[in-house]
Amino acid sequence: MARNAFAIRTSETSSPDEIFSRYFAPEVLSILPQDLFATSALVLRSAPGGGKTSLLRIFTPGPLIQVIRNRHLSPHDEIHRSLAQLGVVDEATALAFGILVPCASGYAEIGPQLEERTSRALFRALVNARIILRSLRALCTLHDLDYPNGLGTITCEYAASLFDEGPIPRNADLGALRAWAEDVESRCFAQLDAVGNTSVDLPLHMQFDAVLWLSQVSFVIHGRTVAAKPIVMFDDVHRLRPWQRTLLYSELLDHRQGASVWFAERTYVINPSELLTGAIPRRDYEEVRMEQAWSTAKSKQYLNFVTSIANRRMAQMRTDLESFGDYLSNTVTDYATQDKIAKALPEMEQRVRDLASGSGLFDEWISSAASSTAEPFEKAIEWTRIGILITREKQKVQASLDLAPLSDDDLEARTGSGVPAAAERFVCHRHDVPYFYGIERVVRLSSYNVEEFLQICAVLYDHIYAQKITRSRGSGPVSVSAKIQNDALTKLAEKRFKELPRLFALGPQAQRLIESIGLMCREKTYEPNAPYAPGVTGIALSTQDREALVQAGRDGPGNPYFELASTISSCVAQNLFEVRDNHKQDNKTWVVLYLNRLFCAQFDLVYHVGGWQRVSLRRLQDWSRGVVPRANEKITLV
Amino acid sequence: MWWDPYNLYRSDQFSAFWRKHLEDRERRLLFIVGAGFDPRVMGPAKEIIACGPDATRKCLAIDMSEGYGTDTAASKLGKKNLTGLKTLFPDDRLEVRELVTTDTDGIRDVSRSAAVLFADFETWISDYTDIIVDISALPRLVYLTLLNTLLTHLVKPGSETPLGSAINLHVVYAESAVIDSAIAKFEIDTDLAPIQSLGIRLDEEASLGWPVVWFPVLAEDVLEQLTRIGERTNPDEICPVLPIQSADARRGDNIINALGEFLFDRYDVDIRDILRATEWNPFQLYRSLMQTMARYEDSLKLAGGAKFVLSPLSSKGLSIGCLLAAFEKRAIGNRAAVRVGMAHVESRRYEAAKIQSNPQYQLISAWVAGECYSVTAHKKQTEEAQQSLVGADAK
Repeated sequence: MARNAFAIRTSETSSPDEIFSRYFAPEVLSILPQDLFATSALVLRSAPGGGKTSLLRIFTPGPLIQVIRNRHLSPHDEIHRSLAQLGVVDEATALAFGILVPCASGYAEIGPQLEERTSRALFRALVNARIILRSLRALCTLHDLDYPNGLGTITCEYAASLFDEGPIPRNADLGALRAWAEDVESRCFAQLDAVGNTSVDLPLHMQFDAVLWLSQVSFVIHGRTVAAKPIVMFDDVHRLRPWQRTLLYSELLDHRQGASVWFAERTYVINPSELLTGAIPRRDYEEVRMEQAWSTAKSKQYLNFVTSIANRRMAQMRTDLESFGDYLSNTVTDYATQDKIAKALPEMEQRVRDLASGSGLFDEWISSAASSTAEPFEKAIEWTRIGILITREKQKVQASLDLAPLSDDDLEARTGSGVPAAAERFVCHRHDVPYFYGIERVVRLSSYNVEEFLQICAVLYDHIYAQKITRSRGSGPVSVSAKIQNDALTKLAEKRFKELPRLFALGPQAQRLIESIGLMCREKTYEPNAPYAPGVTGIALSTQDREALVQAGRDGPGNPYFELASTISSCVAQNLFEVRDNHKQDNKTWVVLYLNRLFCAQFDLVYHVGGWQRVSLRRLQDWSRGVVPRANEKITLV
Repeated sequence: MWWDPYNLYRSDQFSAFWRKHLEDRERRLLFIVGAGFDPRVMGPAKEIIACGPDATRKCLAIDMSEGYGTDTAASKLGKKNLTGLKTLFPDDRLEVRELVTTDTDGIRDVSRSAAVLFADFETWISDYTDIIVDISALPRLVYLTLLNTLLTHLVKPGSETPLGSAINLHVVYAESAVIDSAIAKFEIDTDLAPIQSLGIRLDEEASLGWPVVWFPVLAEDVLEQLTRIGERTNPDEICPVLPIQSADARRGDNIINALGEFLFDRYDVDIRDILRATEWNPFQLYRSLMQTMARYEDSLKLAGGAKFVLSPLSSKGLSIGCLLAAFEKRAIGNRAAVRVGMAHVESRRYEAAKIQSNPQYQLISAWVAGECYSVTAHKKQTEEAQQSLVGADAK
């Protein structure tokens, strides 16, 4: 069997630069600020698997050189165009290059075993050493020199600076500088591996001198000054200890010292550590939240991005299958489904007539629906829509005195944007009709997260490939039916949900919380008048509640909401929620936590963003403990 | 290779060895055990004491309740085990040390905590002739750290017989795949756990461009751990280790069935790269790893060097095999061309509800350092080996 390319995770750092750049989807560059270097710092946030590291990697010398060399050939031409628009390349020249500094390894070991000032100084020393070493390596790659032997062909000149010179030697040749930095790193590791007394030979630095060094130094290769600006890119900043993250931000976010600094980290909702910086957003730094950027981007931009990734993966497999989306049926027009619904239509019609009985207001609506010649599925949606609107009309406090039947125009006017979608969901739920199918819905289920999308595609690809190899010659194009897609996605959702207790600390609490939220959303979604059409898919925290959770995080286990704060943070970190920060409604600001779209398949919800319900902290705490209070048989929210 | 020949005693040989070992001369024994819920906690200690009831003995028991969540069944078993330990080591012979896994920043570092817990070992280790580390009920991070610390102190790499320390170090455990699979693991960490002095430093600049060869030791229910370790280590080559000669003859098939998509789809592992290791014999895996690492080291010279990452996710025996290989390679390996370390993600919660009341297990004792590896013993072995060759020539 062909290897399932959707199961391969090669985007981040493992694949060679030429493969990475060939399969890089440039649409993601459109979510970056167009004036990329207007501020000296950029903060990039997303859930795990959102594509942060891949986005940073395209700026590093290896992929950049590949793109420049092949700029006249597809698919590099598109990438080159996007990078040129950002001012990163200019025809055959790199105008900037990224120096990737992962924060995942080593730093978090610098901990309480050392006195605070020593810890900070050691941390800065390790960061400085790594920036230096990575800069030298990046420089060699950018100019096609062998590292480290090629350092001998590079000389450096320093611009005089008003700032005191730090620990990085300014008058060493690059070979000696490399040896110095490796020695610093080595001594740091020796300290981290020791248990007991502090080593007297600790490298201790009082500032992030490497960033200043990068702004002062000019590199000269074969008599020509390197024009490309360096960008120091810290990846996985959330992996640092809280004080390390705070130190990095406070000393580098508004440094204005020349070299650009980017930070990539996981999305926070409840962040107990303050940034302690006077840096001002959009003046000193730009912030990009990837999922939110996708959700507010132009229509179909995210769809184009991920289908581009999917198609490139399909091309990798060389199985004559090309466009991923084309193999997924996007209708439920098969005869079996239509027949099932057709048999249910008389009952639906009768239900609506019963709802409307005693009033002639709805006669025109009913008459239009009864005489419609649409396909059974469309008719079913129409009956359900009418049912929702009749229920709403009858619930209005002030009854209308107008006895004339409401017209079809009135029907359209009362149909809000979410009602047809709600009606479709009702029909699919009541009559066991597939709902999650087609490339657009599959993309929506990925919650604007590339890794989620690939996991979903991996499952569907197995069905596509199975069809390809088992169908007989001449039996038509490969097409996975809506039912198979729906069943596969529902099964994947169930598997994800069941695995939650195992996957991370507070997994059991997270599962109970997600389950209660899912049940509440389902209850609200299927109310006969569909008050929150197309459906409810999330909860919201008020500003006060969010502050209470932040305080709980700071206070520690003594605070009654500490476990809840930790559970919600873990859920966000694991991409179980889609976060919408600073959501404004009713003159208030809310943090909205939508369920990961895949869980919408688990709880029979809509795939749209949908509505939300405010839930008190006390109730959320109950839910995370498996207690779901009800009043009048309905789940209570406060 | 240091552990060639090795000393391993299993089942009936376990008792026979300890009886003779304790009869040979007066011994002062220190047991280091986990004060946990695993029903195997008492097994090795009970058996050894029965072989030499008059031997002076003491026990250091590690209480891990602060760092690991459990269920009611596990708590009950834990209390029962502690009572049993108090019976085996009455009066002041039992010392319980509490492992505090989280530091003041709220960061969890089990390995460093274990190292700190035994930071005073140099003050008391010389009081004993034999240190017996029972890993049956200890979490992997704890016993790997502990054993690495003790080996670092006892082993002299520059000596003619590096393992011939004056103090004997034994690793004992009760092997049972049935009990291992009955213990349910939850709350798997998302990141690699730091392992004091044993962890692989993936971001070390000096070795950044070197290829990474990953040796994950496979088991049935470790897909999530493998996924997370794989994402962090980004290996260039993978040599999975498949346990064989298990009590369940189909175990290898079951493991491949469970992990096939991960190995062959996600990582394109070549089946010829799969190492097979006898489940209960750590030294056999140790040898395989040493030989394989040597071959890779040779062929990857052109790439500047190689990084070997070991991930023991399976039985205790195989974990010890990984430890011995990592320890020796780190001690005497060519630092200019090789890095060796472990990569592990731990589970923070264990549940014991499915453990049977009287589980069966096999006792194993591995003698990893001490008098049997000393110059005298080494000479005697060499002479015996030479004599047998002379005999063969005569024939």
